Amino acid sequence: MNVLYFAALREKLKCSQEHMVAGTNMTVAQLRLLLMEKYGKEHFSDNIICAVNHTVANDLLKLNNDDEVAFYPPVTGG
Amino acid sequence: MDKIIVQKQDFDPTTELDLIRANQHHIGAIVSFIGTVRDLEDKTLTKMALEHYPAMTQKALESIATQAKKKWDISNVTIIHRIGELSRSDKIVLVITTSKHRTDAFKSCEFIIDYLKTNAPFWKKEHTKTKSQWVKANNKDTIKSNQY
Repeated sequence: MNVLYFAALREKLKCSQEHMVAGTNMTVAQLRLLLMEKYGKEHFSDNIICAVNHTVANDLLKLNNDDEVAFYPPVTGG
Repeated sequence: MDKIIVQKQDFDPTTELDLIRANQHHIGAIVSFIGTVRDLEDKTLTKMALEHYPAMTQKALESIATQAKKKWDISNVTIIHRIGELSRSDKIVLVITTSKHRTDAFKSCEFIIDYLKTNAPFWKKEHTKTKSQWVKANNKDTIKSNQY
């Protein structure tokens, strides 16, 4: 999986993207937990949004190794 | 024909209004919204940087336009959203909708900008001479967008 980070989250993690392997039946929720362990729980609060393959995803969605997964703070365009 | 673009360069609203209404003799209403860079309360903004998620932004804006067309009887939609570094009073976003009658044009234009503010992957960062900070999402925008 290609995992991308945007905006304030990217700055806090000091990482814009990284490659990760999707475990068997890994869900978005499980990936969040992994990232919390890696970077700290404080960076992945409930308001951090996840998009999988350019569509906002809920935590139950199962991930595949060829997915593009993005995490980002609430948007502020317009 | 719809026009949905993310770009660094400035846009001209008059040109875009002329383009969207060209040969559209069936429409009777055109509604437009322009969002601009607002200075900070203490008037210290030096620049605003707009970031986006390139692979997702176009798709997100097209989806919002499609939703607007399902909800209201509108003919064409233009959405132009800028990215990169902007100054005070620079134009950020243009939304134009056209329809036979004004109600659908007004409501769809408002919906598009309301929904864009809470769903399209753009982020603003404000810069002054002494600090920079990411703009926080506004709860009022979320409440407004949830009304649809």
